[in-house]
Amino acid sequence: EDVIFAHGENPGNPRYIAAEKWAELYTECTGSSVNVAPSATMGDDVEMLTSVGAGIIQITANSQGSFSQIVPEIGLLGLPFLFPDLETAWATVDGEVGDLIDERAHESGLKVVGYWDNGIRHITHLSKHMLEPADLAGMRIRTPPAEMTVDIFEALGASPAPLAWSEVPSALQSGVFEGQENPLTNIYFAKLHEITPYITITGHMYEASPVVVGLGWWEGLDEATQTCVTDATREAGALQRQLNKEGNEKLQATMEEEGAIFATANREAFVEATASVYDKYAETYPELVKALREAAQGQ
Amino acid sequence: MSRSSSDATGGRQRPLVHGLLKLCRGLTLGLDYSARVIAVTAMAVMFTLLLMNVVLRYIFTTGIPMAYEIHAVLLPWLVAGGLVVASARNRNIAVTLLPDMMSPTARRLVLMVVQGIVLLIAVSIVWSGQPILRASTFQSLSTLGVKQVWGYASLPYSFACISVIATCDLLRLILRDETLEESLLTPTSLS
Amino acid sequence: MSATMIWIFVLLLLGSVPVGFAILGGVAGALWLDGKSMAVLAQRLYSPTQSFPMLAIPFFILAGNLMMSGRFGTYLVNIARLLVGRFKGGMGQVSVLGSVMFGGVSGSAVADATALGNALIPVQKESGYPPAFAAAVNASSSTVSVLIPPSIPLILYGLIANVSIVNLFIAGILPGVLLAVGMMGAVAVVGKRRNLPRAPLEGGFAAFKGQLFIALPAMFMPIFVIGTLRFGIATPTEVSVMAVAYAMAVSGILYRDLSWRVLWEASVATVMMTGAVMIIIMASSTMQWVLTLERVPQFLAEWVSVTFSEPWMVIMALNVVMLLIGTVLDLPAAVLLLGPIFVGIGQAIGLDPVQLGLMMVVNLSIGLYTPPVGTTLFISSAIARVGIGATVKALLPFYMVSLLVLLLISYVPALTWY
Ligand code: NA
Ligand code: NA
Repeated sequence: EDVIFAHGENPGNPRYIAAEKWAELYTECTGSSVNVAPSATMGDDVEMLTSVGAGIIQITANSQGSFSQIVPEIGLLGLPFLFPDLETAWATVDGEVGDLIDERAHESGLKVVGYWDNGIRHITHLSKHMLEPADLAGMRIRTPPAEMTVDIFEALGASPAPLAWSEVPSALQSGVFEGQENPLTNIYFAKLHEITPYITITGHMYEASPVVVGLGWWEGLDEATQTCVTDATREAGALQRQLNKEGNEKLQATMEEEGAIFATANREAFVEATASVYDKYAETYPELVKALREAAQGQ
Repeated sequence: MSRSSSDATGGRQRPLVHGLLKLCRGLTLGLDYSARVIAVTAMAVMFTLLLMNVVLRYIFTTGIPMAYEIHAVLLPWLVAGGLVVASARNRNIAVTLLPDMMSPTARRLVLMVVQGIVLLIAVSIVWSGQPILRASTFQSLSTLGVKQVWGYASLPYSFACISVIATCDLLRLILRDETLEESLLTPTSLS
Repeated sequence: MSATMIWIFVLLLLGSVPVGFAILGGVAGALWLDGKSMAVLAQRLYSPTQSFPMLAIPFFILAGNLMMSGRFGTYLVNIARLLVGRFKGGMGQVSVLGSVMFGGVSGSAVADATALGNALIPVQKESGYPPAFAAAVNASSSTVSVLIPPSIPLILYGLIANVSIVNLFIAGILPGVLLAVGMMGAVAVVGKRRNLPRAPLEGGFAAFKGQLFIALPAMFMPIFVIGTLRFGIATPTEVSVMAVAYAMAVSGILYRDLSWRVLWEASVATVMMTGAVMIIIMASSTMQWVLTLERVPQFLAEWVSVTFSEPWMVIMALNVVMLLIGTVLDLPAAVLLLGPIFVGIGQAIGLDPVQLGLMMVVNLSIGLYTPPVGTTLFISSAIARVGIGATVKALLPFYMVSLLVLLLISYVPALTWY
């Protein structure tokens, strides 16, 4: 029977390319065919997770935000300035922390078979760069409806407010919001750099793209096929991470050509200003926050 | 023309027929009324929150975060309620070419088959939707913290109501309720 | 699986199963015959109700319902009469111009046909208009409403085609005006030939000044909608909410004819319309699932671009298909069914999706007054108490005008500028 691999990205995106690769690897390994459904044709990220749980589709490369609606623990990967670089982030989710999140997912009938990349988030603004935390004082910044992001920007003294993604361009255009924060790919494809050309490389949050299957489907597979799934996910994931990293570097150049102005924030000052966010989450998830900190420091 | 055949069924069954028709009309009306209350309430709450949010944002540059998430639970109920109202009043869009061309007897038969098909579809959606309902109990909305299942429940609600209404309509057609036949053949449009 | 699905759907549709259920029956049947899990039905049915932009539909319907429920209609007719009543066939001109003005508050042709038809057709008959002609003017001109913003069919198209609703609204103005001007020309010709009476407003402008002042805020609505959208002050959903607030303020404070009863009835009518439209949107989303799984839109787009060598032939073919489907299928349903496939085909020949959207809405709105099934045709003939056949005959000049406009916007992209 066909395996349906669903995701939300369009041709050209690293996740799209990696999904094609996954299909190729899985078919090679098991001999059965894969139907890749891109561009959210099987629904958005939240709907794909429901579909995986209900057995309508078998596997999805999803997003951290949507998955945290089921397994809140994955949201902790977005603790402010947690990872010094992408490689550390990858090592962390591939290790013990990733297993912990997977274990929690089992309670909801899901299984995480691997982690791909979503990107690191940066701040864009209508008229100025955010080099020091003081620059953010009182800034009206749009965030996704995610508690962690709101906490970070409140700690930085900004006034964050969640807004539906579809409404962001017009809200920025009208000046209701002065800026927003997203990975470069999202900024570029929504053309937000044309409205808010001042882009500060803050890298305040890392986001993974969990690759999720239904636990019921997973348990029905024989061990050899299970290995095929995890191997294909790891191998395609390595490609996806690499493409994402290279793509981001190229993207910055493209956006500069189109008029965006880049600057890099003073990371130490931001780290200090957001330390209180860790304390808040350590109260609810003491062990995970500790494990994450250790992993992030390469211990 | 239907007079003769209801006479033929004999006086004995009249009270039963009468009672059944009354029950069916009452049931449909009751579902219609409760659906109106549900849908209009959902719409009123969303209107109030969104308007407040727009005003707050433009005047005080703050907002109500849940204004952008509440629709995930309430729009499904607005739609579900509206769908039940539309079904109770036979206001769904259909191509009524075939029954329009037919003799009254054949037309009634077609209308019965249609109600039977609607019933079958509605029941199969309620039935096959169970895994989704289960999966949605694990998801909660990020700002509201409400489980997705509170929104999903609108789907089995509306299709269960539609099943009841279709059963009633089928019964009413069999028992020759002419007011229903008329309303089934009135064309509706939403353009 | 797709072929089975389409067959069952068409069979059920022709058998007069409601459109939404006919689609669901096709999908369910195909899934069942293929041995696939039917859980996808519930999942896809639910999905459209999670869309934030979709909220604009009930709120724009509500705003229109509220505006039309009060005294606003009378004022509007008077303004139209003041402007164009003095010409031959004046009440016919009033009907067309009234549709343009009504179009600014309502997104629905049927609402327009009912409201204006009830107000104008009896007056026209009294002053010696042939009933069939009165019905014909009303049936055809009321479709201008779905081109002048706001427009429910354009919102629907924007959502399925992933095109800016703002751009569609702006692009709709010119075709709407063009259609209205053409229809006024047709009325003028018929009015002159049949020597139809003039109908100037009694007392002229002097008697009207007071009313004009009161009616202006209501006429300001389309300007408000377009203005806020065009300059990015608010999004379609927000504008729809503000339009409701505006309609409530105008009829509550200015006209003083807003009561809880009016509000409740307008709301019930709104949720019912929303439910009836949404079941089709939801059911099409299940159908889309099957079609995309089997990559049907891609294959179809390829087939079309191979079969028809020139883009103009493709555009012609799309128009013919729509005209045929429009004779039996209601406008929003046809937009939802054909939209996703046509957008792919349009992309393949480099057709601007906004232009395609206007093409679809102009084309399929002709279907509202063509036999065998046409809602504004039925409503108008019923109000005028005249046979469908007679109305269709009187509609001939209007068919010619609308086909001409359709041809123009199909091949002159500048007419759907945004
Ligand atoms: Na309109
Ligand atoms: Na028609």
